[in-house]
Amino acid sequence: MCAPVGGKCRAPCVRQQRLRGNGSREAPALPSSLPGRHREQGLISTVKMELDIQCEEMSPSRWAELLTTMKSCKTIRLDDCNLSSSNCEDLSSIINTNPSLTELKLNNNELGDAGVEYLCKGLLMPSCSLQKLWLQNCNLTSASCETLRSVLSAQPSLTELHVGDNRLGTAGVKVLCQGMMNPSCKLQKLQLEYCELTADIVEALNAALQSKPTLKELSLSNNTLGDTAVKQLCRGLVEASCNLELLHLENCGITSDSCRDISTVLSNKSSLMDLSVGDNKIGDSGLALLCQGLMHPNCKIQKLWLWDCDLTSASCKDLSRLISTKETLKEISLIDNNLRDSGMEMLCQALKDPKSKLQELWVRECGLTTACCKVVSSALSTNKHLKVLHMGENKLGDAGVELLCEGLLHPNCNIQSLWLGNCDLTAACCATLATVMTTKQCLTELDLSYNPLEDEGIRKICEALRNPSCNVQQLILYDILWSAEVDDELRALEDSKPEVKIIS
Amino acid sequence: MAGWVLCVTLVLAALAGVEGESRYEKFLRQHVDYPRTSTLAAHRYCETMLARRQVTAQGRPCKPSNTFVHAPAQDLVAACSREPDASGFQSTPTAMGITACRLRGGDTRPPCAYRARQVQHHVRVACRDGLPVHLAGTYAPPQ
Repeated sequence: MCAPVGGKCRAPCVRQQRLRGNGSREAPALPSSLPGRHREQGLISTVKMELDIQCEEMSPSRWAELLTTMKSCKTIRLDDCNLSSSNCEDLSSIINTNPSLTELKLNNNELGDAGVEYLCKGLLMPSCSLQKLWLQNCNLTSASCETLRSVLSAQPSLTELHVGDNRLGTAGVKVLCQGMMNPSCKLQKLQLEYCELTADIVEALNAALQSKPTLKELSLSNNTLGDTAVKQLCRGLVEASCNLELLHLENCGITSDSCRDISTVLSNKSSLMDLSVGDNKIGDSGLALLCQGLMHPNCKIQKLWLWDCDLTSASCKDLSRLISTKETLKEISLIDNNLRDSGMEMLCQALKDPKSKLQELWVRECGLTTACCKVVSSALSTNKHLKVLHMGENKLGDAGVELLCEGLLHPNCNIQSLWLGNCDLTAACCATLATVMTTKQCLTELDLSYNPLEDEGIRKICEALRNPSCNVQQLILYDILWSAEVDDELRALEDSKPEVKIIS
Repeated sequence: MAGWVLCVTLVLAALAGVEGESRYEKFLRQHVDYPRTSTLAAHRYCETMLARRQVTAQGRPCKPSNTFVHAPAQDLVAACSREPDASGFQSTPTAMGITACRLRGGDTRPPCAYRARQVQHHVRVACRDGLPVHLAGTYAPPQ
């Protein structure tokens, strides 16, 4: 049994993670020995040979311990563990001597170019069969790109490279693109978010895309590309023979100007299932243009992210047509667009169409009020496919939720995950929510965060949770004020029903 | 607060929050970062802090929003001795630096991606036994 500083431990200690104060990673004093037990830390699944550690400072002895474990791991994730280039030397030999290692995630460690240099020594060995490499936010610069290029050219086993959040720049990524051009490179997924790329990168990218029929996923989010570059990229994508499945261009400086070209990609690439243009001011006019491609029979889009795109209710006519006719569309995110009740009403009409196969709808922070809840309710009592509904950050109020619950209770409704955070809810609506929890076996996840439910409301929810016919597994209650007594009640409830997680 | 350390034990059938943590300590963990941590990637402040403070973790859905206050804990404790408002909350007398983190995208499964907004706001808290235990919200200084 572990005996840590400053807190109680539950028995048995299966996993242990250390918490840092103030965002720093001071390693707390560890018990020097645990009687008769192998001290396990982080997440080591010995069956699956996966090492998964996040936010843990590594003492030299701890590192030595882990290295032994890593020798036989299939996947290694060491995220924000204060690793540096010196750790990379060790990792390099692990890569070299562990033929079963397929996945290496080292995000959020200041490895620097020197660190990557070491890593790549191991990566370049013929014995290395690494498939997935994550080096996000590792303080890399363009100087790393030459070495990464060699890896891309030499390792056909490498199918995924995630190097976002590094100041690689256009010059650096141009070098990466050269690596991709090598026929030995069989890259499938490339993630270049926040890499300080500019419009100039597109020429090199297009050349790489032409040569890479294996490429399935491309993310260029959070690079100031602009319309001209994005249009050029779209032309390149259409010409390329790759069966692109995912394209993420969030916050790329796209306006309605690019939407016709993005539309062309949609109507040409039936392989494209996942498109995100969130955080770009495309507006209603841009959305109208996008819909031309989205509605095209060739387009088999499944997941569409249009969050914070400056859309208003005017876009909802086109969005409704999309939802009710595009049977491949499973998920749509419209967060932070001023759709308003009138817009939501149109979307709900679409949800009532039997052709709609939408499973997940995100309308968080869309300017909705109680007024739209009747129509939403009506949609919920008709639609059998919708599984996940995010309506947080809208002033729905108790009255609104009461109306929603009517629809939720309908036998047709199959909602599994419901998010109503910060919706101006009080204890008054909790009785009805409790009824939904104990009636709808399909409901497994419920978020009521940031609502002033108070002790009275929380107690009603707890009562529902205790009920054996309640199937809720995750109850999310962030930022709600309750008393110490209710706090104890919640803990006791979790102890008595271990399949339930109360997250706060 | 330097050297303040908590031990977390996660059992497979997880638990709410950190074992043995008081509500005040939880408040500090989720909402106070002073001095403001300088993260390796400045634009990933929210992601880094929420992970380090164990708000986001594998197996937990992404928290849709979270506010970090960049003021000493004492300043927030001091707010507890002020006159409560109609809702029973107390506000800090001066505006303080805060970072409001909002989930972006359309996924509640980690990795969680956030948008950060830094402003100078008054902070409203709920207090119990003279200590802040709940962040009720923030507001801009009246002009």
